Amino acid sequence: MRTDWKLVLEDGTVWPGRSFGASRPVTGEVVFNTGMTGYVEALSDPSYRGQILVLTYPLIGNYGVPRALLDTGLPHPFESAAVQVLGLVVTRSEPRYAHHAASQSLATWLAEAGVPAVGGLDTRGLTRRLRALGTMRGRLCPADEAGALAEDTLDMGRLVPAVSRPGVHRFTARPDGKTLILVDCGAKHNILRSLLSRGVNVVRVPWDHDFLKDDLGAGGLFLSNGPGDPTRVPELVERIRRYLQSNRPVFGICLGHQLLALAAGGRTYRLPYGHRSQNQPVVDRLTGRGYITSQNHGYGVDAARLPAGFYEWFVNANDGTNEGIRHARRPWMSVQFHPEAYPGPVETGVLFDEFVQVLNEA
Amino acid sequence: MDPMGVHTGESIVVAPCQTLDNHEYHLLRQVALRTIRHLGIIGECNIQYALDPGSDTYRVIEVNARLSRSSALASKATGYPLAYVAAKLALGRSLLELQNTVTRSTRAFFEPALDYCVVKVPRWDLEKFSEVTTTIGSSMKSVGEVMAIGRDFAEALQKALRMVQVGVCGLEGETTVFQSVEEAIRNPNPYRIFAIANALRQGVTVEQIHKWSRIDPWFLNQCARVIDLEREIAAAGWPLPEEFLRTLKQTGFADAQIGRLAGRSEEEVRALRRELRVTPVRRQIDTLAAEYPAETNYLYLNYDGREDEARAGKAPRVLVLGSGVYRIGSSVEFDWCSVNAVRTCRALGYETIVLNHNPETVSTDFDVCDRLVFDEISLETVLDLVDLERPEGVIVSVGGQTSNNLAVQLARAGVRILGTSAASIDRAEDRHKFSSLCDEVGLDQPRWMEYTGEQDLAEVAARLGFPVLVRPSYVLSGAAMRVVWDQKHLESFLRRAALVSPDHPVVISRFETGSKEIEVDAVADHGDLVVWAICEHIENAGVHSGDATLVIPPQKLYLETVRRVKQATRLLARSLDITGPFNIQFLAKNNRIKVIECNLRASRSAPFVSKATNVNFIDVATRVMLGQPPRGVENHTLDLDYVVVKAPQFSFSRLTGADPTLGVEMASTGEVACFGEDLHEALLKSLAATGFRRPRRGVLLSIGGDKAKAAFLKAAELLRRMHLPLYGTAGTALFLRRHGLAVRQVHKESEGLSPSVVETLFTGAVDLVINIPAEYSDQESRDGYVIRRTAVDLGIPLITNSQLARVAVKALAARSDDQLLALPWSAYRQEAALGAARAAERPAPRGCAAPPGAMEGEA
Repeated sequence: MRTDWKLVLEDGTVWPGRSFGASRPVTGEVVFNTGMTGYVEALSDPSYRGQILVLTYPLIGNYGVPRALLDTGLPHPFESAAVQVLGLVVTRSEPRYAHHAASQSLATWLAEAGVPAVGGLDTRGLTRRLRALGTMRGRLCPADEAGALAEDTLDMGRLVPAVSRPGVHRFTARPDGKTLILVDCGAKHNILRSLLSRGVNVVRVPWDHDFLKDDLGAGGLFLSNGPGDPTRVPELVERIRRYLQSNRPVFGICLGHQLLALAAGGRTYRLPYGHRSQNQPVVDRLTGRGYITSQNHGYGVDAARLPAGFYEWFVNANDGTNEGIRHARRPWMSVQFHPEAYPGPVETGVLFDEFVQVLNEA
Repeated sequence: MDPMGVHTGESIVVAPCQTLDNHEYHLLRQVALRTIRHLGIIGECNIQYALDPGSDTYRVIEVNARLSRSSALASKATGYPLAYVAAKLALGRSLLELQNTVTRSTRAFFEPALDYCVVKVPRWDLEKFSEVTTTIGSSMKSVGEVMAIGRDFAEALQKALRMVQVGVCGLEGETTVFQSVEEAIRNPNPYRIFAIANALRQGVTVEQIHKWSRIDPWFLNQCARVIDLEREIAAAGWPLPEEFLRTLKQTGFADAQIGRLAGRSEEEVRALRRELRVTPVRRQIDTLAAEYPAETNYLYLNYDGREDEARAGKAPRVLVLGSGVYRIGSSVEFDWCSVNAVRTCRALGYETIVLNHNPETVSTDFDVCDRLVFDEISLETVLDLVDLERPEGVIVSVGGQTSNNLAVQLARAGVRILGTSAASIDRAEDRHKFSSLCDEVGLDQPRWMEYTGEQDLAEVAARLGFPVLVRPSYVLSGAAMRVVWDQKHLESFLRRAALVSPDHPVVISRFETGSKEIEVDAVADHGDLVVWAICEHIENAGVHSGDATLVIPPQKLYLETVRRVKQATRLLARSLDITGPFNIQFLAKNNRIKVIECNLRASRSAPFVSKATNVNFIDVATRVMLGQPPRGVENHTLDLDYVVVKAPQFSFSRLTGADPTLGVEMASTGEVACFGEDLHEALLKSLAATGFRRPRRGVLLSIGGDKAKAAFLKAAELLRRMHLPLYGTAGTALFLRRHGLAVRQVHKESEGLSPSVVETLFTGAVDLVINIPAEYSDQESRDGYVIRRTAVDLGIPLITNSQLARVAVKALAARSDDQLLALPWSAYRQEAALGAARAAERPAPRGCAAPPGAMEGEA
């Protein structure tokens, strides 16, 4: 295999490979995910915006990329309308895919989306390095490109505004049902699907929508997942803080979890290399019950400085990091992992049931 | 890889799932969770699904609420110790409390993330059975399996196909000849994967092969990639460029395979690789795809990276080669030997590395050794591993024939072989060299010669005398060994196409009839005998030693024979300068002994004699090989206060159509051993352990040949005395009636009369069948086959050997089932200690004298 592209890391290491996506050099944060299936869902997850994703499973693209099937108006199994990662790094991308639902290869999908991808490099060695030294910046570029790492392709400080969809969209599950505001910081489609399938109407609003002034008739707030550092959207944190002065239910996922913690007076921090996988064990501290969860985050909530009135709801069984908080008396709760799954295990979907019950009783 | 309809044990199996998308994977995962909750599973559970490749429709085929065949594979494939965790859960611990034993930093509550791909390929030995159907399906016929690890499916597949040791270098299409490639792809069979390679090479499209086989096109496309690369090798010219060579290694091409396609030798390819620094590194199986640092010592070799991940200590190292795939003739006994060698190496302070690729073994448990390299046992891999590990030496003598066969080449490449030298191993393995050694030291051997197709067969026959044993080269024809009784049959057998050529001569040896067969397992140190054990076969020579019923201590050998056997053993140990384990097979007739073969390695019976005599032969051998011979090893082979019998376990009921008879090719798939106060007790317990039941309703006798009939007369009388109704086929019934025994005659199928044997067996009136095939028939008569096969198909105990039948009947008459005692092994061991103490007081050990009336080789 002739190498024609490379990944250059901040620490100076060069990882030669072969391009199979778009021919557009990019610079961004390099992160790895250990999931073995679900690349279509992962690559369309807006939380990856601005990041070069390394998949540790070496054979990627086997089942191609499917034709989108509309499911309650949302394209299944895509988690957003676009490929969200800045770039993709794999060991082997198989052009000869096979699956009854497939309509194109991974390479074609990426190329058409303008997303560069490099195969043929040792993703295990790369992962070991990222794990040992922590997440780094990196550049995907042609092998002959010289010079230092260029500026980040995307403004890392403005990732949420970049992925949040403009305009207010109403999704109606049941005309007589309760309504939630979903603050779109890069919400995965399956959060919407999970709420709608439970009979909850959703109004999806952009991240900067002032839901304090105009609550659109909603009985509660849902804070979505999204990319980057939660402290980069202080205006949203402030708006949530003020929303908490009412007693209306709030639920957060991933970035939404971090935003709720910040709004309530907690603290967030950057993890050395994050949690990005589909096999993270978490424990519900109330019941002692364990769940296997899907995760994708580079920041976490500091369990040592939880906001007043909140207790630690879930904890990571491997490294003890916080995986969820809940208010002792008020209907506010959030989790670091992804109960909406896609990709990954679906059993924490019961949290949607729990929240919908809270919402309906509110 | 194989679609539904092929038993999971017969399928090529791939982990993790390659062709399922997130939706399908989690759909099935959710069904699994719902199932285990519904059933209240604590511990391990296995669920098999059928999934429609054209939709997400699925069916649950079966649920096993226990550790299953695939559990061992799943444990080795992921590094997750399922049985260990299941045991902890059974003891009331929770998954959240348990540590991940691989990382030692995370919890056992997780689902492994693989960053590699494993391929399991089964091993069949259907060639060893006559009449057997060779299609595979929903019942299991394979006798072993291998697991290959790679970061590419094609890499793992090619490794696995080499590991099963069927004479291929990878995904090759030419080594097997197919009458119809299409049929071989349509109907699942052990060679289907090679038929696919063959078809791809002929230009058949993946779509077409998919239509024939229903194998997912993704797998077929991966096979096609290998074929494409093959063509590129031929076109690339020499030397191959570095990047291309690396790609080939990443796709699982072996040096030998590349060499063959490029017209170079394996050594040349290896030299080029070293020059271009295309060498493998050791990578960890860490259960979490490198997300957490792992303490694991579970490794495989791979060419994707340049960073070696093994954590080496400072102690001197020993590399132990494991058994490889289980097959007929080489099974778990060699794993026992490997594991015991590893234990001793570790006890002596060596950092011990195991190389093996059999997921069913204990030696591939990563906590057995200091480092486990789960990879091929081949010259190429061992040399690569030696380059990485720099061990003091390699132990090749505890893994069976595959690892022992590497000794000469390894030594030539400069690797130190621990124990007996490679030159000695070669001297014992090479027929010509071994023969001249026997001549030199004055040991007798059955006459033999190599036939290349050029000699005059009449002369050959005159020199050897009939009957003869003909051993075709397996590599060439895959044909079985056979005994030939006259020149006409010898000619017709050898005339078969591709059976003989000057490069692959056929070995023809005199087949000794009416002889006892004796087996010696021993350990020597620089030619001095350290410990030895002598076993006697109940069956006369001619039954493969793996299928024979072994007795220790011998019950029917003259003291003189034992003395001569021991002398010969000493002589061979001395002349071959043996240091380590070895095994010799002898023929004995009238106090004259002949050497059949001598293996300078641990043998199949090493675990048996170790357990029977309570001396761990492998521990002794390993100490000797490491230059630390144990002192004062007690040797109990003749002075045991009990008798131990090893009996073979056959699987004929699974092998549809196979003729359940004993011959020169080994057919058993397992073995048992039982202790008893005497031969009768030990034999009855052993037979019972293989599924034999005491007859209560009636016995069918069908005995070929006058001599055999006469020899069985006393036994038949014993059966009558036990009030068992006797049934006999024409000749047998007539003979027994003439001697005053009441026998009901039943008719062979060819007689077309009622009541036939088959009818009688179906009535349930018979619960033991004794069918002794006539010795001289070359092609077994159809009638005998029908009797044996019907017995097996109906689950009726069957004995087909004259000597075994007589001893078994005597034992049945001598002991009732109530008189079979189940004692713990320790009880016998204490007896042994007692026996040793007594033996020390006695001048001559007991059991050596010929029992009154015993006749060697009585037939």
